[in-house]
Amino acid sequence: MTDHLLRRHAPIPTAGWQQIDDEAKTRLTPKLAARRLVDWSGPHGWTHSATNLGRTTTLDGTPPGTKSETVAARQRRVLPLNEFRVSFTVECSGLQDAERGATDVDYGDLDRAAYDAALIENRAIFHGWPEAGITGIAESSSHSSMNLSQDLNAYPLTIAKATDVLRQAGIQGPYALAIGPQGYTRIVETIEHGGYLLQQHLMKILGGDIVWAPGLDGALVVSTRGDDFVLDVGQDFSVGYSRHDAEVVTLYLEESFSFRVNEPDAAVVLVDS
Amino acid sequence: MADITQLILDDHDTFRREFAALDDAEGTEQLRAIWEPLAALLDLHAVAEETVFYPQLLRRGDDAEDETLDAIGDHNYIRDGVHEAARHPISSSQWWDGVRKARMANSDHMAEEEDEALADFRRNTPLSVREELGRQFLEFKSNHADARDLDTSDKDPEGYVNAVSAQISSGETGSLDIGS
Repeated sequence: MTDHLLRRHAPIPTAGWQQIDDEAKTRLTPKLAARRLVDWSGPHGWTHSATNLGRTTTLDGTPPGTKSETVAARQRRVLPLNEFRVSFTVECSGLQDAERGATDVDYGDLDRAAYDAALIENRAIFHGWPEAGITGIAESSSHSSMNLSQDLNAYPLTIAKATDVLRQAGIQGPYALAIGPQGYTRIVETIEHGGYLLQQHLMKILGGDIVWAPGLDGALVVSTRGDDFVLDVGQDFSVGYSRHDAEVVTLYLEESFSFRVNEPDAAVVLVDS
Repeated sequence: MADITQLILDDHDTFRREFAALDDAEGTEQLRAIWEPLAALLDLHAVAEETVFYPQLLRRGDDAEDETLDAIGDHNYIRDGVHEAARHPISSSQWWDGVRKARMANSDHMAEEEDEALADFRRNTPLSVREELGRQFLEFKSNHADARDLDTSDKDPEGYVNAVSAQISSGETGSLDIGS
């Protein structure tokens, strides 16, 4: 349900909402790198509040006034979902232009918000979000990290070693390499001796993709076989209404999610050296 | 996790197999043993599709409206046959008439759905979303296994499409539908 988004209270015509939603989706989609590497559960809706962990904690006692000698009491453990909103503004004049058919309305602040929102999800999945009880893939990896040399010619050997570590741990592929924007650009720009594209060479070693990953420090080699990492989404990215005045409408991007690592052996961290 | 389009095909296989089994059945008890679970699954499958699959097809498909109108209309014919059979003693000629009506309507429906709606949905929906919908489809079927608590009455196809379309245009979920 959208009631909590209050979209119908916004002074935004249908054409304006369409443009805002399209712009938000266009800006967010390529930046949401982490969710491409993990299992996806959802969207379960705004009312979804916790992920079932299937675990319990033993309770020390029973309710006061009851006998406890023959009672075993346990409390279910869950991982709460975390919600966040990133505010942005849209000028009323732009919305009026959209209603007249303008297709080049400036949604610059929405672009900034989309970047900030994508970064929150990516960072939480890759490096964790301690305040939210989320441990990231990098922090949970059970393997020693490897150095990622500045020498791009060394990349194939490093990636091959990382995939070997995973294989030795019994983690099957395909594997993927997630790497920050600068590292990604260096890879796609590089041609090895003999004219072979480094990107293709690495993908051949991995048996999977190389993912442009804003918000990732260094790089990660992960298995994408499934079930190792789970992103549990309540409300997937949505645009809601906050307030307005004569000049601007204040909206927000919203998401609720939890993330958990089921298999710490399924990732190797590569650190820039 | 299974793709919802695969789960629908699996049900279709069951329908084909069990309708064929009716041809070989001997005696009322054998017919009952085959028909009662088959009738319940026909009802359950239709409502599960209307609850989980077709609302998503209407959001994503290229020719979703026509495909959905056809499907809901077909579901009504199937339901009519199932319910007609239920009004008569098993193995009576009136019962066979109802079964035959359900079978014919179901065969037409499966062929159309497999070639059109399911293909349209696969082309326009990433596997991760289809798998999540598969989970919802299985959950729905598990929660209503014998179909007794479901509304299995006929639905107005246009009313159904209009209701779902209204939800979509009013931003029912507000989601940008990015998914994985």
